[in-house]
Formats: sequence, structure tokens, C-alpha cells
Amino acid sequence: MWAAAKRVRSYDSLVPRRRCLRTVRTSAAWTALSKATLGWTVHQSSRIDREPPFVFTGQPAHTTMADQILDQIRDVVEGQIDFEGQKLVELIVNVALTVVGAVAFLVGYFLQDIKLAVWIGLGGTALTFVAVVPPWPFYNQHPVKWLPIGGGAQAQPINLVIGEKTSG
Amino acid sequence: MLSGLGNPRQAAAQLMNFGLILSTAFMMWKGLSVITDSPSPIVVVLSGSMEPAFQRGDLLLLWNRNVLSETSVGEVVVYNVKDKDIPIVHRVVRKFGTGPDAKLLTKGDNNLSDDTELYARGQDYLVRKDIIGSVVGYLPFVGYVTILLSEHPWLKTVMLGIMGLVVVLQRE
Amino acid sequence: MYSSLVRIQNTFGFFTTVAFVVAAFIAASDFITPRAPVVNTLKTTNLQVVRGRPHYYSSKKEEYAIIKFTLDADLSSLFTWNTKQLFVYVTAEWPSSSSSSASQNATTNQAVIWDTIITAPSSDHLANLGPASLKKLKKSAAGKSIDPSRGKLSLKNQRPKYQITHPSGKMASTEDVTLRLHYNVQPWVGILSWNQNVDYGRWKKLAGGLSKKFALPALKKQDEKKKA
Repeated sequence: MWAAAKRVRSYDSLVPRRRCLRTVRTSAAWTALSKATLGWTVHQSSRIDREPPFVFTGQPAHTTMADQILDQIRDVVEGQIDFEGQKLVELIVNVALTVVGAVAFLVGYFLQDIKLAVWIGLGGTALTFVAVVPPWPFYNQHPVKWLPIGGGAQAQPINLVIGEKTSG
Repeated sequence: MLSGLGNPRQAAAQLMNFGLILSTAFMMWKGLSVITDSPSPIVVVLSGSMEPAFQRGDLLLLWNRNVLSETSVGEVVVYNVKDKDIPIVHRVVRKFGTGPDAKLLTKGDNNLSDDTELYARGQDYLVRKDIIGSVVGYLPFVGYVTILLSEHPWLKTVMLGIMGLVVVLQRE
Repeated sequence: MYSSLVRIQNTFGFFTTVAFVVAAFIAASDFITPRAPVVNTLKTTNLQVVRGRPHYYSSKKEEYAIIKFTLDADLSSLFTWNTKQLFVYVTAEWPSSSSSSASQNATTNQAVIWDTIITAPSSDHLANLGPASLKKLKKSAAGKSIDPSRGKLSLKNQRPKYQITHPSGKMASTEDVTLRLHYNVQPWVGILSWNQNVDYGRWKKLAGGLSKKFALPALKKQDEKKKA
């Protein structure tokens, strides 16, 4: 999929990429479902999500106002962040929740107070959610630099060659 | 789900994956059932008759083998009343006799009187085979979702609505 | 992780993992906390066997025993941060009348005569009490997360909560009856535990907790007169 993404040349060839992205999305949905079914045993490999977000901004396809509004809402709801941001989010989630769990247990054990442990755990988790879920500008400081549409004369061929080689 | 139609191989792989998850869950459930010798090794508490020990929505792990000793007074057991399929979790308070024919009387900690009135007509005591397991493990609150969904059907509609919204708001 | 929805799913997924691990640690912390429950006194103070209806819903008249007892026990070591409640109960145990000579030690009949629920301060709000006594209970543990002093029991000439019967309808003159104190520790998470007869690691067996053998008296005539 990565190679396919690199071979993108013009607006027309975006179509297969969209399809490719779509399957990524559904596989994420499956993993979520499997998580719901099997509880905590299944872990999603986050590699899948590191596909480049679909950031195409020219809008020849959008004709009606409703479409545009829906698109804006989608943007807000989707809350995209860049690759570096995703890496950071994963690190923050793993470290923060582990630390919260450890602190909750230790404080609870040494003060012999189980309610305090529960509140520390829930509070810390809530903070982690706040820190991680919204697309804070913090997570969008390394936007992907796309090649110019239709071909900047110098850059294009190099990438193309690499793409062709890896695929063929 | 429909997106896979463009690529049959991927659709098949997703179907297999889903089937695998379902069958794994089923295998784990049945495996636990065999280990504990109980038809339903994990139950959700539905009533408050054992409060404050068990609240509604708590998960109980059952064990139905008499390895070291017989089921005896003081154990918290889940039993089915004769000809009724409503499992009840209460404490054994009296036991007369030994072996599979021992007469057992149960009572909820939070109830004033024992369970004689809950039993079937003409059934004064339980016997061992009415019991589907003794409570050995406890996990609070985790089963509450099932209670919420079964008692407030509108929540299902809300959940469907949220799922629909997610589908609409996700880019294809 | 690139959209909010995926981030919510993944964070929640890892939260459940952490929550289960912490719960497992809490449950395991029970095993490293020493338990040394002691019963200093358990004896009967008054015995009575009456013929009548033990409950309002009893369909037939039968003999039932009323056993008053005195109890002094220290179960305070059973209260830890993971203790939700302690269920303490006293049983009367006696061998069956037919096989009493054959198997002296076989306890074939067992009935709870008295029980009590001792909540921990962390579960006081769940106690099944009236508003006044609930307030009093909460006040007694104000500022405390656990309250082991609640494990100290001292009952004098306590009336039984349950009149004990036998399916045969006969209770009078039963011999070799003993009282035994039991407890059941209900955790917030983890395994339920009962009193032990042997030591398991740091959990010591219940010291004492068994009364002397006694025999129930013959039927009391007085009550029959009352009924008539």
C-alpha cells in the first residue's frame, strides 16, 4: 500500500488510493470490533494507521453546499494528525496509562484506600483522553510534504523510479 | 463492510478474521465451562438480594467441582429452581445430610427470610444437582453494560444512532 | 491513530488492559497481607426446644431450637483495602441421629443460627440500613479508609437470628451439637475466602471458633400450653 501511495501522479490516479484507504479504515473497524469481542487480549498494530491521511484539497467533486458542510463536519470529527503526531500519541497513551495504573495501585496499597486508587485511575485516564483524542496543533507540526500536482519537473522522476522498482 | 466487495480476497480475509474471533470467544467460554464443570461459569448479578456483597452488574466466577470438600453451609451458590430457568445467587444457610442427596436451604444475605418461598411448589430444599456453581471469584461492575442494554432498550437505539453518525461522518 | 475515533478506541483498549492488570495486582495483594483471626470465646448460654411454627409461612408445626450464645472474637486482621465486607456467621452442627454412634465425627447437619454483615468503610454506602444508623455507621469511620476495629466482636447472651429445624421435624434432645464460627471475606476484586482449618502462607487458620459439645434439652412443655 505504501508503494501504491508513492506512485500517485495525478488527480485521476487518486481513485485507487481512495479505495486503498477505505480498506484500511474498515480493517481498523474490524480490529475495534475484535477488541470489543475479545476484550483486552487483541492489540491493534498501529502500523496500519500510519497510512498518509487523505489530504487532497482541490474540490472539483463537491457541488452542493450540503456536501461542503458535511465535509467540514467530517474534518472536525475526524481530527486528523500527522505521522509524527501519531507516533507521539501512541507513546503518550502507553506511558501515561501505565504510570497512572502503577501510581493508583501504589498509592492505594500504601494508604490502604481502594476508593482513592479508583479515583486516581479514572482521573488519570480522563486526562490521558483529553491529551490524546482532540487533534491538538501539537500533533500536526510535521505535515507530509506532497509532490506538486501534475509534476514539478525535477522531483517527480526520482520518486517514480523508486516506486516502479519496488512494485515491479 | 461493503468496501471489501471491490476485492474479494480481502473480503474473504475479513470474514475469516471475524469468524476466527467469534470462534475463539466461543472456545474460551466452553473451555472455561469444561474446566469449572459449570454450564455457565461466569454470571452477571441481576438482583440486589446479596447486597452489599454483590451489586447488580457484578461478574461472578463459578466453580462447580467438589474437589476437596462438599458444597457446604456458608458458600454462595448459583442455583436453578426446579423447572424454572432463572439462576439465583444466594448463600447456603442449612445443610442436612451428606452426599448428592443432602438437603440444602439458601438465603440471600439481604433478604429477611430464607428461600423456601422461591422454590418450586412442593420443593422444600435444594439438592446438589440444582446448583450450577459456587462463587469463587468476583469482578465488580463489568457486567453492568448488559443490564443497561436489557433494561433500557432505548439505549440500543442511541447506540445504533451513534454508529450511524460515525458511518456518515467517516470519509469513504 | 490518525483520526479521533481510532485514538478513542485504542486509548480505551489500553485503559481496559491497564485496569485489568491493576485489578489483578489488587486481588494478589490480599495474599501478602497476613491474617490471624482469633476466637476467644464461643459458648452457649441458653438452650430451648419449642414445638410450633418457626416462620409465619411454615405449613406445619415442628420442633425448633433456640440457641443463645456468647461470642468474643477478633477478626480485625481480615480488613484490608480490598475487603468489601466481612460476613460472619455461627452455625450449629450435629451428626445425624441414626449414624451418631457409627460415625462420631461426621457432621451431617449444619445450620446457621446467627449472621452479620460487617461492611468496610469503603462499602458503607451500600449497607442495608436505615438513614439514621447509616449516618452513624459512616460517622464511625470518618476519615478512615479501613477500620479493622469493626472486626472485634463481643456478644453476650445473643439471641439467634434463625430458629433451627430439621427436615424430620425432631430437634429435641439432639446430642453432640457444637457451635462454630465462620467468616467469609468478600473482596472488592478477586477471590472470595472463608475461614481455614490449616494455614495457607500468611493466612493463619482460625484459632478457636468451636464450642464445646452440648445436647439440646427436651421439648418445653410451657409452649404447648400457650398454643392451646
